[in-house]
Amino acid sequence: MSHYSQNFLICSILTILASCIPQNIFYDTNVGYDQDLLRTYEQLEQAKQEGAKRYAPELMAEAEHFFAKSKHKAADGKNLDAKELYTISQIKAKHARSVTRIANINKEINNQRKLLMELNTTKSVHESELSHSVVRLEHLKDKIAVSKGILSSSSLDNIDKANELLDEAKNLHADIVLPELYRNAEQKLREAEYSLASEQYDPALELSKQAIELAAKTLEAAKQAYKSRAELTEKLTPIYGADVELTSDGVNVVFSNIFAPRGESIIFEAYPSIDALIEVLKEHAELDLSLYIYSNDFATENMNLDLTNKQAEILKNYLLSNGIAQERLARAEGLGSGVASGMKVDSRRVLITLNIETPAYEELRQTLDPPLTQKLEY
Amino acid sequence: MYNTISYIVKIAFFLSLLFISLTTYAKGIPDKTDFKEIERSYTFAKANLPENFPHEEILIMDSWIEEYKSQRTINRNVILRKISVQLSFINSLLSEASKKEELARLNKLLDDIEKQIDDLVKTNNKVMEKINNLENQ
Repeated sequence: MSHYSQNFLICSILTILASCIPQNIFYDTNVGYDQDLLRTYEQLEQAKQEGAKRYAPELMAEAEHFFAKSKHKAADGKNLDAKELYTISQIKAKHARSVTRIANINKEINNQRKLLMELNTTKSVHESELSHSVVRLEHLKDKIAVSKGILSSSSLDNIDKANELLDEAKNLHADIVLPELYRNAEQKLREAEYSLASEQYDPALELSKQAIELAAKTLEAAKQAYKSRAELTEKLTPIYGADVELTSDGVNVVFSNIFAPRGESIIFEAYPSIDALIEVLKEHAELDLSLYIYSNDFATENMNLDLTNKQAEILKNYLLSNGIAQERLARAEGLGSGVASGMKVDSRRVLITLNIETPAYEELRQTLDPPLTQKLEY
Repeated sequence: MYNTISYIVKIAFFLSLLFISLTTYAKGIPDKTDFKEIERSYTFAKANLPENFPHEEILIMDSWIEEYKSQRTINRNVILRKISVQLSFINSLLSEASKKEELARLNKLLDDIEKQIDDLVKTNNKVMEKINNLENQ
């Protein structure tokens, strides 16, 4: 073999050997392989525990494949190759875990979507219920508005009616002859008006009914009282010298010229008037009467009282002697000039009060409710 | 003449050996197109990272890309494979983050609807109470 052939052969062998040298021997270092391998193993185990084999079987198979290859490379002493392989195995394992988590999240998303659908259905049901309730409420409000209108209208009608009755009773002097009844009916009427103004429709209706009832009874009693008084007034008014006025108890008759000034006897001209009065009293045996004599302030009040008492006695005796029963004469007294009774008159006058009992009034007192009766008892 | 032929044969032999060696090393040289595609995808993914994304994975990826760019031949294929695998993993993490956002949105929606239902029930109860009161009137 020539020199050139030998060189050629040596060079060829060296070249071939060089090409067979592993690429990594120039930079291969020991990089704590065991620890990294353990970490990769742990990653794989965690992935398995999390169910990655179920949700990412291919990735797990690849990760395990690279892990196995890594171990073989390490066993062959090719640590650099082994490192690359377990790095890839680690990434694949982490990827598989991520896919597993995505699968779990997807499951949860599906569950939440189902729940969302159920809740939407529930919401629709509640919305529908609310809608029905609102419609029902509006309907009810309409009905109540109508009812209130009816109640209000009825109360107003009743109040008008009670007002009319009271006006009529007042025209018959009910406010004078039956003041308690009149005031109570009027008070009830005001209460009904106040309730109506306060939009308390039910109480307003009830009070207005009571007001009508009271006003009607007051009017009835007033009519009866007025009838008795009117009849009496009609008979008493023509008597000469008699001033007639209505009172709550009956009728007052006032004479100015029965006795002469400071005189202790009835003047002659007064007898016809007294006789006419006696006639009326005889016709109305139900009437009780009282006599009150006043004088002008001509002397001391004691002297005035003496004089008027004497005059009262004279007039009383005259009445008794003319057929008026003693029991009908409730009182007969002289009041002087009125100073002693706290009401100075200072004029000569004879006051005769005729008391009329009104049956309707008494009947009404019995039928009134207790609180109102108590009010009337003052 | 003999020498001339010998030189020619020798040179041819060396050249063939050199070719064989180069092709052996060249097996480790990855396709540049693959890397560019991966880098493009990664750049896009990186630009859309959610707030709570695990940034250590990005740091790893960045270091490998730098490593890939600094290496010329031998290890590039290995690095590219790691980069490719890591990119898949990052995309999976992005998908996971997106799913978590969707789940959070759904949970919020559920909470809102539950609150709306509660409000509806309360309102309905009030209306019913009012109806009962009015009916009693």
